[in-house]
Order: sequence, then structure tokens, then C-alpha cells
Amino acid sequence: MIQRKVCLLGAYAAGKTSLIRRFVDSMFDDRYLTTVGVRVDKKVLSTPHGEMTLMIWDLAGEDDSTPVDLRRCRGSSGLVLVADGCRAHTLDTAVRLGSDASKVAGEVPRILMINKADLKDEWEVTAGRIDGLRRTGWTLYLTSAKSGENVEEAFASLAASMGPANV
Amino acid sequence: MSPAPPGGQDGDDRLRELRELLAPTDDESRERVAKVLAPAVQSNFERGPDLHRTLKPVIRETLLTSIKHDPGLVVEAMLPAIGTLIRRYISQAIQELADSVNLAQEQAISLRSLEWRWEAWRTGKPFGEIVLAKSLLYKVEQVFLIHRETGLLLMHRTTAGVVVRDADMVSGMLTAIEDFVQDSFAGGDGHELDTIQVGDLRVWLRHGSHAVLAAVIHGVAPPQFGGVLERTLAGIEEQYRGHLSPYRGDPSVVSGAGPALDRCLLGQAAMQTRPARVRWRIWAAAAVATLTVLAAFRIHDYWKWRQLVGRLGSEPGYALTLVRRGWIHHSIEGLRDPLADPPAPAVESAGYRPDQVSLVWRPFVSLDPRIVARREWQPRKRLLEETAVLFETDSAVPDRATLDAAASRVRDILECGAQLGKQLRIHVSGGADGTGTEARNEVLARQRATAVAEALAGQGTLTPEMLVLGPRLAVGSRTVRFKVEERQ
Ligand SMILES: Nc1nc2c(ncn2[C@@H]2O[C@H](COP(=O)(O)OP(=O)(O)O)[C@@H](O)[C@H]2O)c(=O)[nH]1
Ligand SMILES: [Mg+2]
Repeated sequence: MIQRKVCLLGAYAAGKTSLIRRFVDSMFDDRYLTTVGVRVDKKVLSTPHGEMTLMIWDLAGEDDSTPVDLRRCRGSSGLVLVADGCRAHTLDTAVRLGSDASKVAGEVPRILMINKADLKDEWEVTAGRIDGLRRTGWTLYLTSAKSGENVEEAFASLAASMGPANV
Repeated sequence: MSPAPPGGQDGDDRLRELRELLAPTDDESRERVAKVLAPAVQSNFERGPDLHRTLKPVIRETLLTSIKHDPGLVVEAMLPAIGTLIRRYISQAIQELADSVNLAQEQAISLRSLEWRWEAWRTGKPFGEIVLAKSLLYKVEQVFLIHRETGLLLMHRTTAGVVVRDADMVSGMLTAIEDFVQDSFAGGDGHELDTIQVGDLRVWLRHGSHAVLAAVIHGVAPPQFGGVLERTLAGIEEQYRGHLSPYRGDPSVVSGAGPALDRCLLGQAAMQTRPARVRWRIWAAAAVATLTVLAAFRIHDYWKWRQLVGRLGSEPGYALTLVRRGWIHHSIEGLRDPLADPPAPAVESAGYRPDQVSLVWRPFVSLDPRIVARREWQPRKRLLEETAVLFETDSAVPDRATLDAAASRVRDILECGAQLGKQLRIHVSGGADGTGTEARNEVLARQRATAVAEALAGQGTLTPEMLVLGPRLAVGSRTVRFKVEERQ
């Protein structure tokens, strides 16, 4: 079975860990995140190219004092960039992290999740901004780790775009 | 501190001036000093090393005092500079500590160490030798072949019977942990982690340019095992180089490496078979030890018990009718003369606590001569002291009948005293009636006492030292009387 490493990047408290928890049954304790700064989880998905095992690396960060260690993205076949819809600046952070990670992982497929869709009333990120990003080519999902909205879909689309042709 | 100012009047003045300057009393002059201080110091520095030389010892002293006062402050300030060094040192120290602690702990408390001690005792070999031999026992339980760049698992092999959680995730986390350790402890200078301790398991890691080989080992593998790993890894990299860089995420490309990995699953089977037999012996030894302890305890108690029963049995005034020795509580029943010694000291001197032995006594009258003597002592003493030897007027010749009676009572009291171990003295006092002159009476009284004492001296065990002449009796008594004195 094909295996792929995927990194989850985003501002602190954007909801990365919550999204993973929604998506997979974790084997490792959350403590690894705080001590080692990384937690690796596994999810088997079916894609148009057959079954695929995603090894998802949840990287701790990013806040003012602890930047994400982008070296951890080495060897990634895909990136999941997560922003918090309630905090507009986290969208900038996610986009920036995506381009920084490219220096380590290369121009690998990526998706952008704008999370906390269940709190749409409190969103700072505007519909115009979202449309703008879509027009520039971003594959973008409005997700909620709380309701599960769009989480599976987002990962599935990333998996599909990392087919055998796009190693 | 700074060089002392020149002494004398001149020095004192300058000192006052300086103090005025440094600690001005009013706000205005404080302000003035503040304004000039920095430029003054600056220009002084530019002029030459004078001020520097003056301040150096002051600063040094201040620094030392401050370090002594609060070492944490200085450490905090220095940490960024020496942090890397310390971290590197710590990681190494931790590794060594973990190794030695694990080994020592195992040897100190584990069942295995008991087994080793048993074996050392059984075979007569030194304990250290056994430990060394046993420590080399190991078992490689799992081997992971990991793609280095992605942390993806290429292949995983285990020995039979080993339960493995998701190897893919272990592989990923192992890579992540390794990165973490390398970054935070090894200073990221390419120094790689060789071993990781996970509980009582050890993970040995070998790094190639495309893959990492990780072996999970139970016990302590010999150093040569590192060479086995290195050669295996080199062979695999050589063979699959084209598939590993770039790696397309399909582990089946290295499936041919299975046999090579299996050859890394080394170990000494002794580890599994041996303990079962030895453990049985351990239990046997433990049982024997327990029985021995119990037996020793029982035998010791038997001696105590014999001592107690023997002593009470021969104690005058006791007659034992029932003795019962249990495991913890013992009991003795019997008859006891109220004049017998109390039993508690016998119980205690045999080594029992009073609550360990229950005693039940019914009173009786003992005919044991020692108890009889105790019972008879007072009456016999009273009897002798009531006895009077009579005399004719103006005669010092004792009346035969009363003298004989006195002699027999003296013999009784002597016998009784001997039984009781008493040292006795008998005071013999003579008297005279009111007739005749006082001088004559005085002489007569002494002659009568002496005559009786002489007559008694030959009686039984009475020695002359035990007889003393007592004071003259009151006037009006033509008799000789006795007083019994007990001497310590
Ligand atoms: N309402 C809501 N809260 C969320 C959602 N996702 C995460 N959170 C909350 O946001 C906080 C940070 O989430 P976490 O997953 O730890 O963020 P991380 O730092 O990116 O891993 C937590 O309190 C979560 O409960 C979401 O979709 N909706
Ligand atoms: Mg998190």
C-alpha cells in the first residue's frame, strides 16, 4: 500500500490537533505534542488511485514564542494548512507557513482549511477574502473540528491530489 | 574593594568628599552628579586605563557577592551561551545514567538478580561473574527499516510472539523523537542518536544516507551487534538505492530485504528457557528458607519453654498440673502456695512477655521444706522469744526442764533459718529478782546468761559467734530470755 507523509501547519490554537482527533483514532498521547513537538498519526484512505496510508504529522506551534519547526516537513508529500476563521491573521500565518514549507518539502500538493466553521457568526475572515484565495488557486475548505464538517472531504481531496504521479 | 585612599587627615577628608559626591544628601546635588557621572566615566575611559583598573576589583567583588547571594541570576544570564554545551553534556550523561541505573536496578531488585544470587551460591562462582554472563543475554525483538527523509516505515520484522502496536506509527514517532533529541540535545551538528531507552527495552539505531535501521532489544546486546546492524543497513542501501531516493511511498520495493532483516533478530534463547527452571528452584529455596526460619523459631521457643516449665516446676510452693505450648500463646495451670515466690520473674527471665503465657493458679499448702520454713519462721521466732529459762533464788544454775525446752526451740529456729538462708544471731539476756544487793544482782544476771549460752553452745549448728549476751533484763525476773536477730 502506498504511504504518504503529510504535515499539518497553522497558527497556535487554529484547531490542528482537534482536526486530527476528529479524523483518526490516535495511538499516541497528546503529551508527545508538548514534549516532542510532534505527534504522528495514521489514517488509511481510499483514493481514486487505490488505498493510501497517510502518516499525518501534527506540528506544535505557532505562536510568538515557539515558531513551527519547518524542518519536520522534510519528505512530506502534502501539506494541510489550518487557519482559524475567527482570527483573520491566522490565515496569513497559514499561507506564509505554506510557502516556507515549500523550501523544505518542495511544491507538494496542499490544502487550506479555514477552521471553526461552526462559529461563522464570529468570523473575521470575510467571504471576499475566501473567494480571492480560491481564485488564486487554493484548494480551500471551511471546516469544523467540532461538527466534523468537511474534515473527511478535505483530507480525501488532498490524498487524491497526492496520487502516484505526484510523488 | 578599590585601593584604599591614602591614610591620615587628608584621606579622611577626601573620603568625606567622595561620600558626599556618591551619596548626596539633597536632591539638587544628586541631580548634579547624575548629569556628570556618565560623561565623566566616559572621558576617563578614553583617557586611559586608570578608572578601569580602579573599578575592576570593585566589579569583581560585587559580582562574586551577587553570585553567592543568588546563583540563579547568573546562570540565567549565562544560559544562552553555555546552553548548547550543557545540553550536549546532559544528553550524554542521561544516556550513561540510564544504562547504569537500569543495569544496577535490575541487579538490585529483580527476581532475576535473586536467581543470579542463587546460581552464584549454587555454583560457587562469584556473583559478579554471573551478572556479567547473564547481562550479555539479550533478544532482538523487532527490527524497523525506516525511510530516513519521510519517517515512513519500509519494513518491520519481529520475532515470534512479540506483540506490536501499529508499526507505521512507531516508525513515524521514532523519527520524530529522534529529530527532537537531535535538535534539542545534540545541538543539531549531525551527531546522531545511537540508542534510546524505552522502559526496559533498548532501541539501537543505525543511520544510512537513505534509511534508518532500528532494533528493539530486550536485555543488553554485545557491542558486536552494532556491527551486524551496520552491515545489514549498508547492504540494503546498496541494493535499493534507486528505490529510496526518491522514495515513492511504496514499501513493496524493498520487500526483498526481509531475510536480511530477519538475520538481525538475534539473541540467546537462554533468556526464555532458563528462568523457568531456575524460578522453580527459587521458589523451592524460598520454601526451604521459610521452613527453616519457622523451625528455628519453634526450636528457640522450645528452649524458652523448657526453661520456664523447669524453673516453675522446681520452684518451692508450686505444683504444675497442666502445661500447654501453642504457636503463639502458652498456658500453665497448677497449684501455688501463697507464700511461694511470684511467677512473673520466671516468665520474664525465660524470655516471654507476660501476655504470651497465661497462668492459672489455685492456692494450696505446700509441704516443701522451704515453704514450710517460711510459714514457720514467725511462729517459731515468737515461741523462742517467749521462752524463759528459770533459776532458783541466788543461783546461776539453769532449771533443767526450761533449759531443755529453750534448747529445742533454738534448734527449731536454727533449722528454719537455715532453710530460708538467713544469718541469725541470738541475744541471750539474763535477769535477777529484786532481793539482794544491786551489785550482786548485776553479777548474777550476767552469770545466768553466760551459763545458758554455754549450755546452748553445743546444740546443733549453733556456733559461739551466733550467741551474744544481751542487755540485762528488767528487775524482778529470775530468768534468761532470748531475742532473735536476723542479719543481712
Ligand atoms: N468551536 C470550535 N472550536 C474549535 C474547533 N477546532 C478547535 N477548536 C478549539 O480551539 C482550541 C485550540 O484547538 P487545538 O486543536 O488545540 O489547536 P492547535 O493548536 O492548532 O492544535 C481548542 O480549545 C479547541 O477546542 C472548531 O472547529 N470549532
Ligand atoms: Mg495542537
